[in-house]
Amino acid sequence: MEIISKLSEDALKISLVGELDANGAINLDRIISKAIADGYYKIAVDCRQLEYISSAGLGVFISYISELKSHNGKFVFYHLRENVESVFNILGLQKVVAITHDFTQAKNQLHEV
Amino acid sequence: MKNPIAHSLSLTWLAGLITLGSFGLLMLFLAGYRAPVYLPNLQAFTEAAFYLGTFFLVRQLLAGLGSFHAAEHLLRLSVLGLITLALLLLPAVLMPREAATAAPSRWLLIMKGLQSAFLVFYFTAGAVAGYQIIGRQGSARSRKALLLLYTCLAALPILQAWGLDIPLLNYALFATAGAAGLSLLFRVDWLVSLDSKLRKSTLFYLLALSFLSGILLLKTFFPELHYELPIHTAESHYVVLTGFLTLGFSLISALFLLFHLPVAAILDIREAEKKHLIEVGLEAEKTHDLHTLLATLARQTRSSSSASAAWVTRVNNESPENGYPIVEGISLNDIKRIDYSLHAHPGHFQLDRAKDFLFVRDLEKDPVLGNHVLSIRSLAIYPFSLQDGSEWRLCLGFEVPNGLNEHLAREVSHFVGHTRLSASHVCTLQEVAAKARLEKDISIGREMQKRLLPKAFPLSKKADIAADGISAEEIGGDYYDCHVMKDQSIAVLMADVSGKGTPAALHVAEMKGIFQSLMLSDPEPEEFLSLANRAVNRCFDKGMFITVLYAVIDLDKQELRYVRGGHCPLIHYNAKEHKIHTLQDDGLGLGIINGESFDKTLMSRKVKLHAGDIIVLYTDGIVESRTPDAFEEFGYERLRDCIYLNMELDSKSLNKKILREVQSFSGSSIRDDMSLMTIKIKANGQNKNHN
Repeated sequence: MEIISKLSEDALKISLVGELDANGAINLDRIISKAIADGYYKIAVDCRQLEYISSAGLGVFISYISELKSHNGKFVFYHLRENVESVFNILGLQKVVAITHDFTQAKNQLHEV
Repeated sequence: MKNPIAHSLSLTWLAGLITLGSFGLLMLFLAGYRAPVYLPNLQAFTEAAFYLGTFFLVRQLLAGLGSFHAAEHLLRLSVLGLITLALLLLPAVLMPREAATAAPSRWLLIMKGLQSAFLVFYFTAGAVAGYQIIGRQGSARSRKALLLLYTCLAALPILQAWGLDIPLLNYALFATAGAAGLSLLFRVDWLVSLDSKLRKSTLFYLLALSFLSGILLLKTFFPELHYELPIHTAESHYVVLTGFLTLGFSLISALFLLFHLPVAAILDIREAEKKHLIEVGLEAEKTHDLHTLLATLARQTRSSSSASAAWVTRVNNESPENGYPIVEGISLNDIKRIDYSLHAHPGHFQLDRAKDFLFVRDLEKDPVLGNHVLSIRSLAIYPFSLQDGSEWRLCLGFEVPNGLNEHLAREVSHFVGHTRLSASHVCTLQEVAAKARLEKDISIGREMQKRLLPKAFPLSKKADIAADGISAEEIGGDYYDCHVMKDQSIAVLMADVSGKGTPAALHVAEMKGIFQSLMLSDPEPEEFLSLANRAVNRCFDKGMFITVLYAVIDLDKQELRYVRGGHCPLIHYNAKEHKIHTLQDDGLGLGIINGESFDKTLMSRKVKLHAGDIIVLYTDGIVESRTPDAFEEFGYERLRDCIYLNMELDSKSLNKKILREVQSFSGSSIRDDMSLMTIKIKANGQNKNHN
């Protein structure tokens, strides 16, 4: 499940709740693609309530990385649980997306270019 | 009667011969022949033989008839009764009383004989056939009653012939036969189970039989016949008893049937519903086809409500053009007109809340439908929906202005209900079939995927290599391979395609080609990953990625060179230090970023190997396995411990041991494929090397 809230003109917050598996990935993809179409290129992802993320879920974020970058945007993930962070690290995602500790840091990261 | 046919035929002949013979003798008596002195009772014996012969002849004839239709028997009996009555009345009508009492002419003699013969034959046939009809479907008790009845019938003439004409005994036999007959008469199954079409004709025959038997019995007691019959009918107990039995059977059955008729009409409706239910059920089972099922509904409701037309259409609320018309007895043009009107005036054709159908009487006077010239004059509309959410409509058209009564309306409602039930069965069956097909596809996919994995690993004197795995319910995206390089180094690969199911499996198949062709040129780890990442970026969709661990085990140099492409870190047991390490270095999955940026992240690592070292490659299915309550992951710690505690096992057994451990941890819930490859450096390999 995802909860979306607007942060600013071009920034958006997506809160992920529960498990993000292959089924959830389809919905997430729809949400992000709509956000980008609406002009939101800076996306903060709140992972406080994210219990598990599957490779398909990761794939959704990965597929938009280059598109956000071309619009000077990015994903910033924050509040990752230990097991989720481990999945990010093993895959090497910390090299291509920003991972921060909390929302304040995430907001600062979003507006750094 | 289980006699062979030949036997029963000869019995019939025997009974016929006795009947004819005794009848001939009786005629002689009538013509004036007197019994010889030494046989004073000959006439009584002859009479008894005649009765018994007739009785057995009728029994045999009935048993000889293969099929047993009550109505047909009753028709035959009625005809027989009519002939008998005609024979009895004819002489009285044809000739004056005086002429009849005068010297009997030869034809009168024959006439008398025929009258007697037919009377006895009719009563016997009535009694035997009637109770046979009742007793036939009955229980063992009713068969006993039937036997008792027959015994009494046969006993009467025998006793009479012997001169044992004791009134008390006669009364007892009469009473017994009467009681047996009466007890049988209350077995009315045969009347209840009568086909609705036969019910009225059966009633008619039974009434006719009652009337005929009544008249003939009266004639027996009060012979208005002014001449002597060869048989003294009124004094013959046999004739009287059979006569009363025939009358009792026909009259009581007729009365019962008469009072049963109104109930039968309701039973008919139930019967029709049952038939429909069975037919629809069979149809559903046979065809698994909704169209056939709905066609059955149209056909059945049309025939049972005597509508002139019936059709089923799928209702489309957005357009009057309704698909799927199943038509019986009306033109498509008329249906289109009606559909259009129904669509254009939804308010006008609103259902009553209490009813599940709408009936439009006098279509000519209807403000909406009256505008069209239609072939029907009243219309019943039954809307219904199916399990899949589709809306349908059954329409019945009648040639009369008021074609539907309450009974029929309810019956049609039931038909619609049955059809909905069966349709939901059909839907379920179709779903089950589709699911079975899908499952078959998946199992084929899984089989194909297994074939992508190497069956055997190169046998090396220096290393013991084995791989194993467990598939999840779905087809997964695990892949591993092994290749012996030119310098006898061993290249091993463990990969996991993102996602699950068929797309992942197809990508695995694609990657196998890429990986194998790359491995043929014996690349070093960095080179391999760089090339593989370019291939993945080129071939795969955005968002699809692969994690890879590629390692070269150089047994000559005793070293391990590897790159971790975002895959689960390799586990290395160092035999010299007695320590176990998880080699988690930086590394990025394939297909996430493009060629050059990716190449910059690549960093090959080297690890020194020793005899007895163990290298374990695996997929995330193992470390991410969770307890059934999903509370805890298997994790790296447990995996390391398991390897450490079982290091003395050979590669194959170690793999098995680890998989067993994971399974007992996670119970039956396997969420993801688990694959595992173990390489043990052999001690003798090192020795050989040193030698």
